[in-house]
Amino acid sequence: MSHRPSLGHRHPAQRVNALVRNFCITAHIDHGKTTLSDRLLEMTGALAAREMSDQVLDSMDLERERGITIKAHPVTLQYRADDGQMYELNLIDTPGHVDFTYEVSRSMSACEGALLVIDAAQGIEAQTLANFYLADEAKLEIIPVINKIDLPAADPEAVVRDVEETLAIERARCILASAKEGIGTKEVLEAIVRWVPPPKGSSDHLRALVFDSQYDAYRGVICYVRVVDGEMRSGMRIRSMAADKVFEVSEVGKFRPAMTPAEKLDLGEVGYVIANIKSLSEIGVGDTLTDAASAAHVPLPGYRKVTPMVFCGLYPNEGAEYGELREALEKLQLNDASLSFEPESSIALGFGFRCGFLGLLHMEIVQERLEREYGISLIATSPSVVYHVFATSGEETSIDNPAKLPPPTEIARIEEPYVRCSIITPAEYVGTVMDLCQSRRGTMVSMDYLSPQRVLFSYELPLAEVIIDFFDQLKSRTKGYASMDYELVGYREGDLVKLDILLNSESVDALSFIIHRDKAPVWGRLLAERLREVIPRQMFDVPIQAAIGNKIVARETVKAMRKNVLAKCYGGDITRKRKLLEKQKEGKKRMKQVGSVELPQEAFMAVLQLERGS
Amino acid sequence: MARNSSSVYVHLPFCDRICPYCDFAVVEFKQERVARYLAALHQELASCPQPAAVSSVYLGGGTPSAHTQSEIASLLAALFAHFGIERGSVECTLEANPSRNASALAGFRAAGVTRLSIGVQSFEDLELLRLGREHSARDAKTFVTAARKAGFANVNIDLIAGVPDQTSASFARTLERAIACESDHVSVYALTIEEGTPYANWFARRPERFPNDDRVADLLEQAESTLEEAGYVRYEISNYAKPGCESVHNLGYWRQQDCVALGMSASGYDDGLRYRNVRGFEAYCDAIERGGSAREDEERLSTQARIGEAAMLALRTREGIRDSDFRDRFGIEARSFFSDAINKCRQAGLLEENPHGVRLSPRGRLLANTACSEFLHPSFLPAPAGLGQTTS
Repeated sequence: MSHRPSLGHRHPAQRVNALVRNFCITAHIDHGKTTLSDRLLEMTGALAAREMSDQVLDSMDLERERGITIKAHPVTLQYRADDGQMYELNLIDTPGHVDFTYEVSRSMSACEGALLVIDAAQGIEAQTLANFYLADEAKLEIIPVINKIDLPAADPEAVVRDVEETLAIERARCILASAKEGIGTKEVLEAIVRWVPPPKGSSDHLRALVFDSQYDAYRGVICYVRVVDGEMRSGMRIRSMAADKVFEVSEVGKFRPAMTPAEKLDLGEVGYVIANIKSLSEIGVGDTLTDAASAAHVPLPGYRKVTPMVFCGLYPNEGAEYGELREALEKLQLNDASLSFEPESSIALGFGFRCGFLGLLHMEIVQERLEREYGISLIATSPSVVYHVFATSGEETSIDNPAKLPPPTEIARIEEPYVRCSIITPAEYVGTVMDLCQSRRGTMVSMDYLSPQRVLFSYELPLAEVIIDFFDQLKSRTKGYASMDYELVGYREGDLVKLDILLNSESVDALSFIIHRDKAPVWGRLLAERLREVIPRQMFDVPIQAAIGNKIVARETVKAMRKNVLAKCYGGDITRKRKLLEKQKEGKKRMKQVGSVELPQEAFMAVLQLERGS
Repeated sequence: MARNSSSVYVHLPFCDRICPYCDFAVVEFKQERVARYLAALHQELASCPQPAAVSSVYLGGGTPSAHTQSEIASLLAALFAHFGIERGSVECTLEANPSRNASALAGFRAAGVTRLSIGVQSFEDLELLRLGREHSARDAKTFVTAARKAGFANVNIDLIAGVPDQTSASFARTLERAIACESDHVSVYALTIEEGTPYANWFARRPERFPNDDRVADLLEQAESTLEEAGYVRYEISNYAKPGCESVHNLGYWRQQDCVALGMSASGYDDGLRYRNVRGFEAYCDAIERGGSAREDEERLSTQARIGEAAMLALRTREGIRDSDFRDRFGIEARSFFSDAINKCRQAGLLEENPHGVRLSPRGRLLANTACSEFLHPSFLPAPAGLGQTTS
C-alpha cells in the first residue's frame, strides 16, 4: 500500500520544477540522522554554526533529551551545486523510533528522495530495514549515507557490502560520511541534486498535500504542505477537499529554518500555510488543499487513519485536576493526531481518560509531557492492547480496558492483536533472543544470516507480550546490540483470562490485566510480590491477592507500619519538626487513596517490571 | 504557668570532636574561637529584649560542659542579670559530656546550674565505640556519681535506641544501668540518620547493621515498659522522669511557650513568630560583631498554623490536647476543631479520648508523626460567606 500521492500521472499542462529537490532523512535511532541534518543546514548557510544550538530540528525539549525526533519538521535549504545552479532543497526530518513509523511514511509522501543514514560501526539495523522498505514502497530514490566513519569501530566497507547485498543498492550510490566531523556533507548535497528527481506536476488546479500541522496559540493551525500541482499564494481562497471547508490564505512561507513568509509556494515546493484555521479538526493531516475558485476534481491520496495500538488509563492524582487533564490532552492532540482519548471512570481511580498511543515510547512521552509541561500529577494504569471479544450471545466488542472484560461465562472467545517482529541481532545472542520470543508466545517465521555475524529473525508475537518490557529485555539480553521493528499482522484467538488484584479483599479495577491462561498464576505471584515491595506500609495490614475469577492464585501481605516518630531532640527547633511532618504529609498526598489503601503511582505500573529480577 | 513567661536557650557549639551521627550546629573546640564566640554571645544578649518572666534557662550544644567553670559562671551571671533571674529560682540546665571535666561540676553548680543533662547514649562500651563517643560506660557511671556528689538534685541521662548492632539484651543492660544510677530523668532518642553525616555513608553501605524500624519500635517499647516499671513517667514521647522531675524547659517547648534564642543556630519563639539564628560559626560571629542581628529565618504563624502546631506539640505529651487548655489559649473547642483528624486517628488506633481531651495511644506514640501531621493543617476553616464547613 502506498501512502504517497502519485505525482507523475499524465496531464496536459505538466511541468517540472527543475531547481527543487524534496528529500527526507531516515535512520535507525542514534545513527546520526539529526547531526547530519545539522551539517546540511550549516553548509547551506541556513544557520551559521555558532547560531545553532546543537540540534536544530528537534525542537521539543523531550526530543532533544532523548535524542529522538518525534515530530517531522521541514526546512528549506539554498544550495549552489557544482553545476553552478542554485537549488532549493527541502529536507523533511523523520522520527527514528518504531512507534512513529506512520509519521515516517507521512513525511515520505512529500518527497522524491530519501537519505538512509546507517551507522558505520553498527551496520544495518531493524529500523534501517523498515525505513528502507517504506521508502522503496513510496518509490523514493534512496541514497545510503554510511555515517560515523570516524569511529574506531567503523567498518564502512562491510556496511557498503551489506547495503549492496541486503538492500540491493549499488555501492556507487553510498556516501561515506561523518556528520560529527563534517566529512561527506558536500557529497551528500551533490548526491541529492544528482539522484533525487525534481518534482513534476500539473501547472493548473492547485493541489497541496498537508503532511503535518502544528497548532500555534496566536496564529491557529499552521499546515505543513507540499504543493503537488499548481501554486499557492497568500490572499487566495483555498478549499480543504476532505473537510470541505474554505479558508483565506493569510500567509504562505518556507522554513529557513525559521518560518519565513514568501510570495507563493510553487509547484513541487514545501512550506507552510496559515489560513485562519482554528482547530485541527477543520483540516486533518493528509487532506488536500485546492483552489476554491478553480478546484481540482480528485484529491491526492491521503493517509490511512492511524490506529493506536497501546492503551492506558490516565487519571489525575487529584480529582480536581480532571478538567486540567482534559485541556492538556486536547492541547497535545492539536499537534499529535495519533493520540486518542476518551473519558472513562474507574472505581479505584475516579474519573480519567482511556488514551490510545502508537506504542510504549509514545505513551511515555505523552505522560511525561503532561506532567512536565502541564504540571499534572498523573496515575497511569498499565498498558493494554485492544482485544476483540466474541460474546456467547454472538455480539462482538472491542475491549481496550481489561476492567471492561465481561465475565468468563459470557465470553465465547477472545482474539488479540499479533505483530510481525523483525529482530536483528549479533549471531552469538541467537539462543537468548529465541528464548525470549518463545517465552512471549512467539512463533518463528524465518531466520536469516545477513552475514556470518548477524541474524535477522522474523517472529510473530502477540502485541500484548511485546508492549510489556519486551524491548528492554531484548536489549539487556543482547548487551544492547539487538534492534527490532514490528508491524501489525492481524487478530488471532488466544486462551486469555483476566487477572484481578485484590487489596484488602477489594478488587482494584485499575490493576486488572489480561493474560494468557498458562502464564496467569506465575504472573499473579510475581505481581503480588512486586506490589508488596512498592506499596508502603500503612496503618493496618494490607493483604494483596491475585485472582483469576474466584480463584486466588497468590497472596502477600504488607505489614502495618509500626514506627513513624521523631524521637529526636532538635534543640527546640520546632519549625524543623513541623516541616518534617509537612514533608511526610506531602509525600502521602502523592499517593492515590484506593478504598482504604494508599497506593503510589508505581503500583499501577508494577506489571511492567515483572520480569526484571525474575 | 504564667502566659508571658519565656524560656531561654543558649547554644554553645564547641565539641572536642564531632560524633559521626550528629548534624547539630557544632564546631571543634579551639581556644581563640571560644573567646570570639563568647564575646559575640554576650553582645547578642546585651541587645536582647527582656520577656516579662523567665521560667527556665538551657545551655545546649555542642558540649557546654567542656567550657571552663569561669566561662560558664560569667555567662550565667550575665544571663541572670539581663533577665532579672534570681540564681536558683528557675531550672537551669547544662548539657554535659561524660568524657571530661567531672572536676568542674561543683563549680558549674556554684555558678547557678541546677540541672545536668548528660549525654551518656549507652552503657555498652562497644556501642559507645560505634557511636564515636570518647567515654566508656565506666566513665559515664563515674560522671553521674560525680554529679550527685556535686549536689545536683536533677540529673538527666540521654540514651539512644537503634545504635548499630544494638540488641534488646544490650539495650536492657543500658536501661538497667541508667535506672541503677538513680537518674531523675531519662531521654530516649531513636537514632536518626541525617544526610551528610558519616553515619549516612555507613548506613548506605551497610544498612543491615542498623536496627530497622520494626526493631527500633521494639526497643522504644522496651524502654517504656522498663522505665515505667522503675517508676519513671513517660511525660513526652522521648522523655521519662521521676514524678516532679520533669524538665520545665522541655515542657515549655511542648506547650508552645515563648523562648528566647541566643547563639548560632538557636531557635526561638515569640508570640507566634518562629525564628532561627544563622547556623554557621563565622556567619554568626560576623553578624553580631557588625552590630546586627544573627536572625536568619523568621516565620510568622497564622492563627490556623499556630493552633495546628500547638496540637502537634501537645500530642507529644502525656496529657495530650486538653480541651480546657485550647479553650483558654485559642478560644476553640479542640474536639470539634480537629474532628476530622481525631476521627481518622482514632480509627487507626492512634488516639485515646478521655473526659479532658485526647492523647496518643501506645500505638500512636510509635506513630506520632502520622497522627500529628493530621493535626497540622486542620481542615476546619473559617468559611467564606455562602460556603459551609469544608472537609478534606
